[in-house]
This record gives sequence, C-alpha cells and structure tokens, in this order.
Amino acid sequence: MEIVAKLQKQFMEFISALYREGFLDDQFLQLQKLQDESNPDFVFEVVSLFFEDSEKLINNLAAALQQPVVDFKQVDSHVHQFKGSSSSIGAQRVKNACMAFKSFCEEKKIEGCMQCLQHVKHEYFLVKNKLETLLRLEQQILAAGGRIPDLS
Amino acid sequence: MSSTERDELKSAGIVDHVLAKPVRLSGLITCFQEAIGYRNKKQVTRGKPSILGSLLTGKHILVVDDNVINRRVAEGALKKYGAIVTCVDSGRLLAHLNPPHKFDACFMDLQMPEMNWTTRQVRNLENKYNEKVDSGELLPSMCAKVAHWHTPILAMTADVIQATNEECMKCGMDDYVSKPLEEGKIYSAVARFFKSVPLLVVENESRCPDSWLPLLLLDDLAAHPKHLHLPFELLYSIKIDLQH
Repeated sequence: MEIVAKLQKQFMEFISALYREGFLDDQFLQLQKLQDESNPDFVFEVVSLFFEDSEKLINNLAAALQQPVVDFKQVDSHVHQFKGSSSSIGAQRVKNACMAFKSFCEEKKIEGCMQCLQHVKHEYFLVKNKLETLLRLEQQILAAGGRIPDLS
Repeated sequence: MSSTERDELKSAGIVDHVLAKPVRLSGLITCFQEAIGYRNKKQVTRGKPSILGSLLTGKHILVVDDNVINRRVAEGALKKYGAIVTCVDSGRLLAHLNPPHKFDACFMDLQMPEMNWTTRQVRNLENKYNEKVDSGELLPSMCAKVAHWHTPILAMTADVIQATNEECMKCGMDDYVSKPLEEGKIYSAVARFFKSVPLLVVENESRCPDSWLPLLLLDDLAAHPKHLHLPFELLYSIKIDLQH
C-alpha cells in the first residue's frame, strides 16, 4: 500500500477510536475545521497551549491542596479554568473529571478533592499522549506529501 | 481604475463588484446578479459560510477572556469569518472600550470575576461620551465612527441557564452566545448588529441618485483600499461630507 494512504488510514482509525472512547468530543472536530491554509498550525498551537496551561494548573492544584488550611475557593477557580480549557479543546474525559472535582470543592471535602486531582491528572496525561500521537501522524502525512483526511 | 485593480479589490473580498461609469440599469442588474452568484459559488467551492463572512469581514472584534486557550479558540472562530480580532484579559477591557475606539463588537466570557461591574463601567463611559457629543462639547469626529456610542457586548458562556439572558441584560450586555462558538451561533448573535451590505465602487461618480448613496463608495476611497474597511456608517458620512 502507498505510504500516504497507509498513514491516512492509520490516522482515521486512531481518531475514530479517540471519539469512540470519549477522549475527544465534537469540539475537537470544530477546532480542526478552523484550521485552513491561512491558519495551518492552529490545532497544534491550541493543543500546545493546553499542555502548557494544564501542567501549570496541575502543579497549582497539588500545591493548593497541600496547604495546612485549604482555600477551596482558590482550588475551585483552578478547576474552573481547567474545565474551561479542556472543554474548549474537546478533551471530554478531562472536562468530566473536572466537573466531579468542582462538586467536591463546593462540599469542601479534602479527601474527595485529592482523589479527583489524581483522576484529572490521569485523564490529562492519557489524552496528552493520544494528542501527541495524533499530531505526529498528521506531521507524517504532510511530510509524505499527503492531505489530512476530512473528518466530517 | 485598471481591471487589475478591480480584480484585486474583488479577490480580496473588499467589494463585491466594481461598476464602471456611466451607470446603466443593465450594468447594475448584472452586477447585483454577479454579487449574489459569486457568493453562492464561493460557498460551494470553499465550504465557507460567506453569509457570516459578509457580516464579519473587516470588523474589529474584541475578545475578552482570562483563559488563554479559550481566547485563542474564540479568536480562531471569529478570524475564520474575516473579523480582525484583538484578544485581551479582563483587566484590559475598560482601556479598550473607552470611546472613541475601533471595535465594532466585544465578545466576553461571562464567568470572569467583576464582569457585571466592568460592563456597567463601559456603558457609563459611553454615556458620558454621548452626553458630551449631545451638548456640543465634542464633535463626532472622523475617528469617532459614530455619533452615538453603544458597543455591542456579547457574553460567551458555557452554561446557558434560564437566568443567563436576564443577567446579561441587567448589567448592560446585549446578548449571549453559548460556548464553544460555532458559525450558526455567532451568526445569530451578530446579525442584529451588523448589516450585510453588498459594497459597490462607482468610478468618478459625482451625481449618484440619492437613493443609491448607501451602496456607493467614492472613487477616492477605492483608490485607498485601507479605507474600505471603515464601517459602513463612516463611508456614508464621508460621501455626504465630500458632496457638500
């Protein structure tokens, strides 16, 4: 099989699995639609911003939950930010984990919050790994002179 | 104006058609037909909704959001339809919406702290400016695009509940759009504020029928394409000024 076609098939299978397993939702599709010739690196740029911001938020959350007196309002504001950016990028499972996290913040339950942080972290690193693979596949397709398959 | 210049204006999407003088009814009809046909074709071949494009092209939009990722995504969505987007965080909002300014509309995240207060401040600044214009203290100059300032402020929100609309209106916002921004949502939010007007350039026009004025741009303006991104109201007033 021709290399481009092979990569394209691999890409389609990979991204379909990401939707099927709930890692990504329609919002990621929307992002891909916003990318065009005038804006060729849009998805890469937004995804990189997401990685950078998420890792900062995870560190801030860990630090905030380790305080002798936990400021739940501050924890909630970090989680809110995380929920907003994961929703903007279509990282559905991270978003859902953030929503559960928020309700523990409201109830001011430290144990629940600690567990949620672990869950959010776990989901974040999973989707990060998947997105990196996806973007690498895109690069390989482009480098081989192919086009990214239309997903809609 | 040479045919190359005309083509440049058209392909840049600045005008829909250039009408050669003298203006004849047949030419006018063809040009309207072409303007409509051209749009339809563009929609098919480029897959871009040119209806929203014709509303947003060249419009200055201010996006206010404290989340850098949301800001970038909103910017991407609005730029896709030709808007000129400026992104700031909530701290910079007032400085940008103090009249006179260049923005045709503002999209702001509803969940940021102090947003209600800030929106009221924007309205206060606008009212003060408008009062000064009304009292004759300030002349609505060329840089002040309109005589009466009211920048459409649209809230972006992820959770639309019954109370959202009421809440937005109460603090002086004009409407809200649910996040994530999509074409249809942006369209229905901005359609009330922006008119979709096919712009024509008439060469060397000095005696247009008055009823055409809103559709016509002076040749002088056509010679300076940067002016063509001015808001419609201003083009109209320049036309009037030059006539008198």
